[in-house]
Amino acid sequence: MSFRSAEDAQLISSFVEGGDRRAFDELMRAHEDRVFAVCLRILSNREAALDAVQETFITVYRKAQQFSGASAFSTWLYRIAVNTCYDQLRRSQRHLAQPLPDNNDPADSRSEETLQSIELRPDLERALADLAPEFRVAVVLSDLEGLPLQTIAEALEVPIGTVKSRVFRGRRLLAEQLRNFSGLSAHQRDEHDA
Amino acid sequence: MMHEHDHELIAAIADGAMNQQEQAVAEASLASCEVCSKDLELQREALVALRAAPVVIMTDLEKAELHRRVAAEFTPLDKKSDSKAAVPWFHRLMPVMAAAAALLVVVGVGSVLVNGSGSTDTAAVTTAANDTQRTAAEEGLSEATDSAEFDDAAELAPTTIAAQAAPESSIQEYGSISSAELADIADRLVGEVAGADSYPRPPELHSLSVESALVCEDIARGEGTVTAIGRATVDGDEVEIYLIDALVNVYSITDCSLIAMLE
Repeated sequence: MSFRSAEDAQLISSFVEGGDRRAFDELMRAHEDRVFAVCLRILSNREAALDAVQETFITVYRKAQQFSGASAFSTWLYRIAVNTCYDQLRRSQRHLAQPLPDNNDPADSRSEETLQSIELRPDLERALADLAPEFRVAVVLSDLEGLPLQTIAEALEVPIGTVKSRVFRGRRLLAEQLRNFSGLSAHQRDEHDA
Repeated sequence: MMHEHDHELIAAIADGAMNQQEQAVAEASLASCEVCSKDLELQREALVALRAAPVVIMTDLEKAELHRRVAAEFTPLDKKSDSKAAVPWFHRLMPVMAAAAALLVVVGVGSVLVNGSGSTDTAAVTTAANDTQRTAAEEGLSEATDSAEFDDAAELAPTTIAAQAAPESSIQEYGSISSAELADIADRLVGEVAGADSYPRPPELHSLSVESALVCEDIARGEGTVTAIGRATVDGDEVEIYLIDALVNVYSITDCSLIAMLE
């Protein structure tokens, strides 16, 4: 058990058994940036990510007594964060499924604010957002957050082989999309020059 | 045709998980497979792009807002608790502290007006306080009195509000008290002090000089306009109490963690 895991275990125990709110605050402070980063990369929108982080910690607060300690607290926390993001994505997809205005250009369906909100290269940001959620989550947790595959498997509650496959396919789709954007940009530059 | 085991091999090469010699052998084994070579190239391209991504963190303001919102969610849950002992003192005292913070502002107004305009204005402050007493009763601030959590408040000592206030300072010093004592003080105030919306808000109160340094002032001021400040040691925990806009934030002075928020 790492130092952080041991400290987390002690803090969650203080909160659950003693109602120690400061222990909970400390847990939040220890993990809020990483949870935010995960949510931001998955949701591609800063406001939505902040909402997801809030919802994540409220869920942790409400379900703290259900934390069994079988996995590290951070793994459990990632599981809640990812599920919260999935819920948000489902809600936003329902929202997007509503009829679009007549003058809506599909190419501009995401606002500039959304696309430039996660501090990635714009093309990478768009390529990541275009991935199916299960691939996006795997790539974010593995390659942006640097989590071990075993931890990702536990957080997502899927076999490690599934995680490897999702990461592999996610990277491949991402690179292909980046190439598409690059080709498109070159084509646009050619048209502009002509 | 690529097989499943090739994925792991390609990923391992792309991740740089092998030493130089192993990597050379592995890459050579893929050389005859066009799809595998292309996959390796794509994996590497993706990783280069992803690993160049900057670390993202929340701003201090976003963090403060997060803690404020999460703390706001705690209150209703805690009120539902049947166990007084299991609830931290700062949760049990939330309604009480809200009333105490309202008192701070009323007293602060008195301080500003007495120092600035003479005794005539004291009457105005008294009027404001009386008005707010009625509002408190009407708006249900006496909820705390009705609660079993505050039953022990029935044996209040006849301390005056003025004795708790320090009109010459912008910081209300409550001193070292137990949560029960603070509950007693605040429980009495509940019947006398206004709801937050009804008392006058002195916009310059926060700029009055203070007698000693505050620990969490910067964090509190980052949350909004501070209109009253209190300090206490409750059950051994030293705290600072700030009325910020329409909210009371209670910070532990140990690390300025937000331990209670009252609306």
